[in-house]
Amino acid sequence: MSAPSPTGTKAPGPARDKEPGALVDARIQRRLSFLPWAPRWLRQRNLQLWVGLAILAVIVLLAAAAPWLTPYSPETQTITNKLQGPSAAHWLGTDHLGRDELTRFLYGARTDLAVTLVAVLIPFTLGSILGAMCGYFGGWFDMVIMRLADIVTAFPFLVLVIALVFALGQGVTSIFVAISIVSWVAYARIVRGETLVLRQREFVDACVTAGFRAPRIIGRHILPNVISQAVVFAMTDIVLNINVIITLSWLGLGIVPPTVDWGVMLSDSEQFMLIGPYHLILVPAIGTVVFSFALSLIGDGLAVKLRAKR
Amino acid sequence: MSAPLLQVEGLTVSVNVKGRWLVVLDGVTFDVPAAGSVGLVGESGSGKSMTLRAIIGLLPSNGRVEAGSITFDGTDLVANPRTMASVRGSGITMVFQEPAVALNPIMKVGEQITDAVRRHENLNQRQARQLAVELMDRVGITDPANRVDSYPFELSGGMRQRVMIASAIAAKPRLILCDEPTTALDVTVQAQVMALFAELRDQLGAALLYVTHDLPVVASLCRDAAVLYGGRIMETGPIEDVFTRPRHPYTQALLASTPSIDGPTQRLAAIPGTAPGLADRPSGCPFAPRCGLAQPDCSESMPAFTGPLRGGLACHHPLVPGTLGAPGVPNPADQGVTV
Repeated sequence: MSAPSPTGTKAPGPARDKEPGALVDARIQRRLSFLPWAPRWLRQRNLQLWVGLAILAVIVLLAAAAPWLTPYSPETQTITNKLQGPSAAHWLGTDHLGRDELTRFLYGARTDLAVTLVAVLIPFTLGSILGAMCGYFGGWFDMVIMRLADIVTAFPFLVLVIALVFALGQGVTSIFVAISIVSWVAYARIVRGETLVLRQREFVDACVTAGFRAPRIIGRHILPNVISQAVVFAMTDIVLNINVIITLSWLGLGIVPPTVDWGVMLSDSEQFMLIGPYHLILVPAIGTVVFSFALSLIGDGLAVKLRAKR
Repeated sequence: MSAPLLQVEGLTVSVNVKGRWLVVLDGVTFDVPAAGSVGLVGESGSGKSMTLRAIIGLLPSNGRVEAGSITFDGTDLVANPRTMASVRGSGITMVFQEPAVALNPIMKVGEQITDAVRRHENLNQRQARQLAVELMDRVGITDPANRVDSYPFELSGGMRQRVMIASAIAAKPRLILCDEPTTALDVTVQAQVMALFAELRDQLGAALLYVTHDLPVVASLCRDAAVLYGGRIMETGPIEDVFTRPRHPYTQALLASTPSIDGPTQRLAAIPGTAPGLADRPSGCPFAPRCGLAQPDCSESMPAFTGPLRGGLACHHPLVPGTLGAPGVPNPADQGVTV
């Protein structure tokens, strides 16, 4: 391959010419690429996916290793030590109750990661299966499920979640239930739409003529074909979910203290937002942004990767 | 004489178009003997594919069987939908027209071929793979041991159709429905696939119900023919009789519009007009408006299907074999249609 051209307008190499769509794909990929100005070899690496995964990996590792990384407990209060700036003993300072900010940040990540993961898995599974069934069977089943989806969509997301948490009581379980009830809808709609398209393809008929029953056709032939779109959306959904969880904690409806998460930290440090010390609000805020950013990049990268495969 | 493998009697199918039930198939009757081969011939829109879909229970969601029976191996599939589910795959399978869309794009072809078999027999991974290789070899795919791990997009159209055929014969069905399986292929590949069908027909002992508008294909592959027009059976019979001594004007017109290589060069005869739409089926014979021999009574009443099931006819004024057809419709005997 010749030297990378800085403008990237050079005709693609002979290997890429085989597929008529390759040129267009390359163009789309370039536009979506994480660093449009980067040299060609770097751009073709699907950078957004790898950078996103790298950031996520760092966060996960830090959270998992939290007990060995800091000598403090996230809950022990030392009032005499409160509101200190960064120092050798407390790298990110201490909060208004004298708790080590770094420790709370790491333990908070554990809570948020675990809750987010479960909160996305439940609606992902539920929504995908329901959506595939709707698209495959159609008829009254589709009608009922989709009207149910309309009802859920008609409520403002946060209001509904808050109402549900209110009704079910505070705690992690309530968050799971609340988020699951609301966000299966998006997965169901995505998968249903893809299934409707797929249903027109003769291979589904071919499966029927081969004697397969509906569960097998849906599970083995339809879902694997349509699930990629749902996976891409799941990455976006995790971002939304972590924001919901943090917002709920901030509102006092989510994680119950003394369990710590970034939302609780934000809510605790809100009073210092205007007068300082500012690190108290910046640490969980930046953590949230970086985590969301990483997941967005992964979602982007997966989208490019899965499109290239089609 | 033993009962035929498949008996279709008085099959009437309607589809719902914008609230109106329109008759697509009207009393279709024919049978397929065990290990026989029947070509179902007709123009586009004559109801050929609909007949196949009705047999295997794959009618579109807006279609329904109004009347009639489809008896497979002694059981009426219309009256017993549960039997239908068990008959599919091991009893009846289908080969589709477009191999490009009739295969699951993200599943290895080897897995797709044996998917149906693994449902019936408990095969482990290695046995299934072995079977897939054997079947692929059987249908003439070169280097099956490597191709077994290919995805459909890595294969050519002809190869894909061979894979389709392999998966159709995998469970050793007794009846294979073919919905124009060679239409999407180019001529050379078409010839190869035809040869494969002929070979399988003789070796497997499976009956073949072959739907096509391509008359030479039927002539070379099938023992019997049934001519379908406007959702009705026009003429049935052994292939030699139907193709060399057609009695129905439609059959004759259809034969006359088949190009031939070795006949004298002349303008290809076309049947005037187009096949009637679903909404405006004439009350009499559906072919009457286009028929050169039509008499007043043709557009008044539908001629009943008379004669034996194999060799029957639905026409008020059948051609007497050997006489010239309607003006403008040359006798097929002059056209060099070979059987």
